[in-house]
This record gives sequence, C-alpha cells and structure tokens, in this order.
Amino acid sequence: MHSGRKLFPLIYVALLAPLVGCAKERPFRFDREVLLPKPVHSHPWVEVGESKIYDASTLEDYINGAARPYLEYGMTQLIHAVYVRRTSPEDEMIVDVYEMASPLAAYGIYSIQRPEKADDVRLGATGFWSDGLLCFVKDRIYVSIQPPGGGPREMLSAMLIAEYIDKQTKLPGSLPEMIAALPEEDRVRHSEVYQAANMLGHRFLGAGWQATYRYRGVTHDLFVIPCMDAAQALDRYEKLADYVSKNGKIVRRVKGVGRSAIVGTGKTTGRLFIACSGRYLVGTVDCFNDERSVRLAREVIENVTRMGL
Amino acid sequence: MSTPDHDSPSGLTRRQFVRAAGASGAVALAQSAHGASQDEAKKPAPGKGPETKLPTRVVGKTGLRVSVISYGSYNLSNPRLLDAAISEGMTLVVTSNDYQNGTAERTIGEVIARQRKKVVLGTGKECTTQTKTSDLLTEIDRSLKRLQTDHVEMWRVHYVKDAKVLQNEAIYEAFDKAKKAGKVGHLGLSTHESPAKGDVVEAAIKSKRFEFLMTRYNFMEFPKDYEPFTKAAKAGMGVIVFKIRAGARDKASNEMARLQEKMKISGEQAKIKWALQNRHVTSVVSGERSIEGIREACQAARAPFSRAEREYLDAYVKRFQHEYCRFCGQCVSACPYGVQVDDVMRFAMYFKYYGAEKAAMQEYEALPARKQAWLCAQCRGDCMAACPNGVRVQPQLVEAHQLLRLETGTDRYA
Repeated sequence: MHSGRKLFPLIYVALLAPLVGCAKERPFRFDREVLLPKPVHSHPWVEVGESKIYDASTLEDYINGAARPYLEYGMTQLIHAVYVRRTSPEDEMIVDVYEMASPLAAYGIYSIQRPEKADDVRLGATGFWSDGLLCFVKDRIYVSIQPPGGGPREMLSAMLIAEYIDKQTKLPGSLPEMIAALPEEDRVRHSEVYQAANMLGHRFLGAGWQATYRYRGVTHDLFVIPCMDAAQALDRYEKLADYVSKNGKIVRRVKGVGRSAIVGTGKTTGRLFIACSGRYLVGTVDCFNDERSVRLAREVIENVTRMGL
Repeated sequence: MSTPDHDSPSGLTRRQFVRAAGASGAVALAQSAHGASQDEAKKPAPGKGPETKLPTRVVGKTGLRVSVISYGSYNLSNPRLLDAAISEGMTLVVTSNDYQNGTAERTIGEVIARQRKKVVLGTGKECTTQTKTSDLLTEIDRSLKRLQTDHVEMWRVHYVKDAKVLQNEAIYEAFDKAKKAGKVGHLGLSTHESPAKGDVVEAAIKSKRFEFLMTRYNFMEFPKDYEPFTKAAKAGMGVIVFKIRAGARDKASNEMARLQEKMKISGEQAKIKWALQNRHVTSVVSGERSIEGIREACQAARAPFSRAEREYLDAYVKRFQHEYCRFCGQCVSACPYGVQVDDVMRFAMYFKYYGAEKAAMQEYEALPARKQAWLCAQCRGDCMAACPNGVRVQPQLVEAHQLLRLETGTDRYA
C-alpha cells in the first residue's frame, strides 16, 4: 500500500504524458477534410458534389491557359469546391485553395491578381475583396473565393468560408520582407508584385519584384531583381543593356549608383533605367525623370543592404 | 456607345467598319469559292488587315487577314510583351472578359490605345443556356471599356463545353444588337473539346451562325487533315487553334532535349509548323510569356516545316504515344470487370510524371474498389484491343495498381 502510494504520482505522469503530446500543435496538412468547412460551419451554404483535387499536370483541365502563371509560381495542389445556398441552389460559390511551392510563390500569385482599388480584408497575411472576388494568402496557401455576386451580402458569405479556411490553415502569416525595401512614397496601392519569371518580359532576368509609382500624375514602374551573386547580376545587366542597344538605344550612362547604370529607350522597352549593385539589378520603366530613377534605385539599394536581404 | 468614330485596324472609321464587316463576308465567300480564303501572303490585301512581317491568312468568310501566329493573352499583365508581339508581326490579339478578371483586357487596352491600327482584336464571354441578352450586352460594353476601344473585330462565345449552349437565342440577339451598334464585327466560338467528343464543333458548323472557330489542335491527338476543320472551312469559318504543344512532355525529357540538340531544331517551333501545315488553320495562338518565346514562335511561321522537325515530332509520338492516354474512355466499356480504366490511367500519370503521388493515391482510393485495377493482372486485356491509339493499357493498369494502392504507399507519406 505504502509503495503503491509512492508509485501513484509516477503512474499519473505516465498517463498524462501522451495527452501533453497531443496538445502540441500538429503539423499543417493540405487536406480538404481539414480545410473545407462542413455544413455546420458554412450554414446557409452547403458543398455540392465532392471537392476536386488538381495538381500541376491537371490544372489546365480546370482553368485552361490561365494555369500557366500558377505553374510558373510552382503550384503543387488545388482543392476546388463548389458551395450553393441552401435556400436558392442556383447561387453558387466557388472555393479554390491552392498550395504553392513557397510563401513567396503564394504571395506572388496573390499579388498579380490584386487590383489597385480592391478593399483590404483581415485574412491570413493579407487579403482583398474586389468585385465579387475574395482572396487571401497565408504562408504557402493562396485562397480564392468567388461568391455569386459582388454585393455586401455575397462578401459576407465569402468571408464566412474564408475565415474558416484561414483558421484551419495553421501556418505563420507574414508578408515577404522585400515589400518593406520598396520606397513607400508615391507607391500605387497594391502594386507590389512578385514575378516568378520573365521579369520585364525576359527569360534571362528570372524572378523579381515590381511596383508602380504615381509621380506628379504620371505612373512608372520600379523593379528589383535579386540574383544569386554579384557575377550573375552583372551578367544579367549586360544582357539587358545589350538588348536595349540592339532594340533601341542607350541614351546615357549614369555614375554614382551601384557598379554601373544606364538609361535606354526603345519600342519594346520604353524608357528604361538599369543599375547593377551587388547581387541586385534595380531600375525603373517609363520614368522620364532620370534623377528620380537614380534616387529610387539608391533608396532600394540602401534598404536591402540595411535589411540584410 | 457615344464615343466618336475612330480608326479600325484597316484605317476605317467605325461607321465604315460596320459596313465593311457586312460586305466583307460576301467578298470572302467569293474568294473561298476559288479556294483562296486561306492563302498565305506576305502582305495583306489593302483594307483587309494590318501590315505585318509575318505570313497572313484570311479568317474564313470574314475577310479579315491576320498573322498566322496570334497573341493569346490569358496571362498577359505586362504590356511590353504585347508590344514585342506586335513588333514581331502578330496582328491578331485574342482575349476574353474573364482572363485574370479583366486584367488581360486592361493590359491590351494600354497597348491598343497606342497601336489600334496594327491589330485585329478578338474577345468573348462564356455563356450558358440561361445567359440573357442584356447581360451579354453589358459585358461587351465592359470589355470595350477595358480594351480602350469602341469595337472588336471578332467576338466569340467563349469556352463552350456543351452544344446546348449554342441553342440559346439570347447570344445571337445580343451579338446582332452589338453588331448593329458597331461594337462587334464577327461571331465565333471557342471550345476545348476533345476530338473524340466533337459535338460542339459539329453543332457550331451546322448552326451556320459562326464565322470562326477557336479550338485545340496538336500533332499527337489530331490527324493533319482533321475533317471538322475541312467542314468548317467549307462553311466559311476561320479556324484558330491553341493547345498545340501536346502536353509538352519533351520539356521534362532529357532524351528529347538531346534529340533537339542533335537535330538542331526547336521542338516548340516544330509543333507550330505542324499546325500551320493544315491550310484550314488560319492562325496558331501563342501565349508566350517572354520576349524570347514570342520571337521563337514568330520565327517558326517564317520558315518551312523541315524534314528534321517532322522526324522530331514522329519521335515524340513514338516516345510518348503508348503512354499518352487521351482519356477518350473507349476502353471502359470493353473492360469485362468494369474497371474505370481512363481514371486509373490518369491517376498513374499524375503519380509517375507530375510528382503528385499523394494526390494520385488519394484519387485512386476514392474510386470504388470494383472500379480499381485489382483484377487487371489476370485479365486478357480487352482494353488494349479497344484503344484506338494503341496504348498498351493493361500493363500500365497493373503498374498503376501497384503504385497507387494506399496500403503499399501509406508509409511513404506517414
């Protein structure tokens, strides 16, 4: 009896140990059973049929040619579900939950869909509502919900589903750091875009960031192309300069920003300012004020250096 | 629309364009009677289309002359790409109201505002059997606003999946009204339908309402002289094709890359040239997303289809045909056990070629057991006899079952 009393705390601990283990957060699973709301959560909306799963090889079956950017951004899986309003089944809501290759890829595909005038919504890392489309991004998950219309009632319906998916996506929700390196002044709202390939339309430039600025009523773009190292940055810079000289002309060489910088112009390039600094290519498109281009490029270079990107 | 008349691609005012759109049909029909409707020319006939440095063909009886490579804008968001495409000589730009929720049309609009004279524009909207005239008219206006133009030369019923849609009279009523108002020129349709289920194309030809057809066409699934195209051409329809890459399996194949290097050819160009061999094909849609890709596509249109390229495509077919199930489903009814052969083959494809092992296994698991390939190893293989493409179905089913059974694969994903 005495020894039994001594053993009791040990047995108690032994019995509780597995429960403590259970309380630990389970790793996130991209699974329709986990992510999609059941009727009890989505009332008055109910899922019709079985949700479909698409991957990189079958995405075209669903959205045809529109699949290409998703594939460029490294889409791995998509859960596609259709919900209808219980009281009026002709009202359909399309729910697409994408798993992308990385948080950056998910932000990228989100950023290219987001219109300037979209309303921000508090979902995931960031989200928007625009004209009957609700989207948000959280880590490597990108969610797009299309209710049957663009009114406030439909928005609330979409939010009902979106909030559930957001809650079930147990992943961190932070934005890519590079956004903070893009100068804020005069930046057009929602214009910060991450492109997974073909920056400025060229394969050889690979992936990068772009944002639009409205300066004295005229818009222009700012781009930042992170390369693997300084050698690759210089190589890309030279290729781009070569393209400009062959398809337009180099107007001037600019000193005092990065290792090398030029201003060029051409039919398929517009007014182009390019600077090469460290492992970065930075520049502007259609900014006709070269001083401003230089100032923006310097600011970006300072920011990425300060932030250690 | 109350906007003032402005230039059409041929330099006509909008009012002239409306008249020409009606008259050009008669001219083109006369041309087509002499077999000239699809003739290539270095320079377009005066007043029939923009100047271009690419070869051109006429879109059926519309009389519109367009470049044999056209720009597909479903992913367009960078106006420089369209600038480059126009600069390379593409004169037909195709889009739809729903591409990226209107972004594609808006991007085209930015470019068109500067270069309207250089292109023939085509857009469209997906319709159902219930689509109303008023909705279509509203959507046409929205498209025009985004495109920054007051008319498009080609408007289509987009992405038709069911021939019944073509029986919706509201479509024709809306089109006729928009045409009368000078907002649209010629009516067409687009479909992704497989050749094995040709209802939509057949129905479109029979209806005699459509002046052009946009559809899939590639060397792997279709014969060179594809009969529906001949019928469409006879009916005066132009044929614009997409999905010409036949799955682009060579992109992931070192063997095919080496072959291209050895033959000194480009697989992508070979596929474009193959499609253009069909004289009824007016234009091949290219959705290239880089300036280099646009150039490569345009170069294909300027050079003849070489023997090496033909041999390369033969090698492609040989290499992939017995793996390349077209999912036509003809084997399903031949199976004595009721196996859902086409689905099993598709899941195996996801597993083997696309790195989607988990999803493939889940899909297979979701099939009722009687539709899975449990008994295929013991079967005589009627599915192979039924396959019109000679795909070696049975051994693939046996392999698929081994790959996809969840109990053997669970460990890998636990």
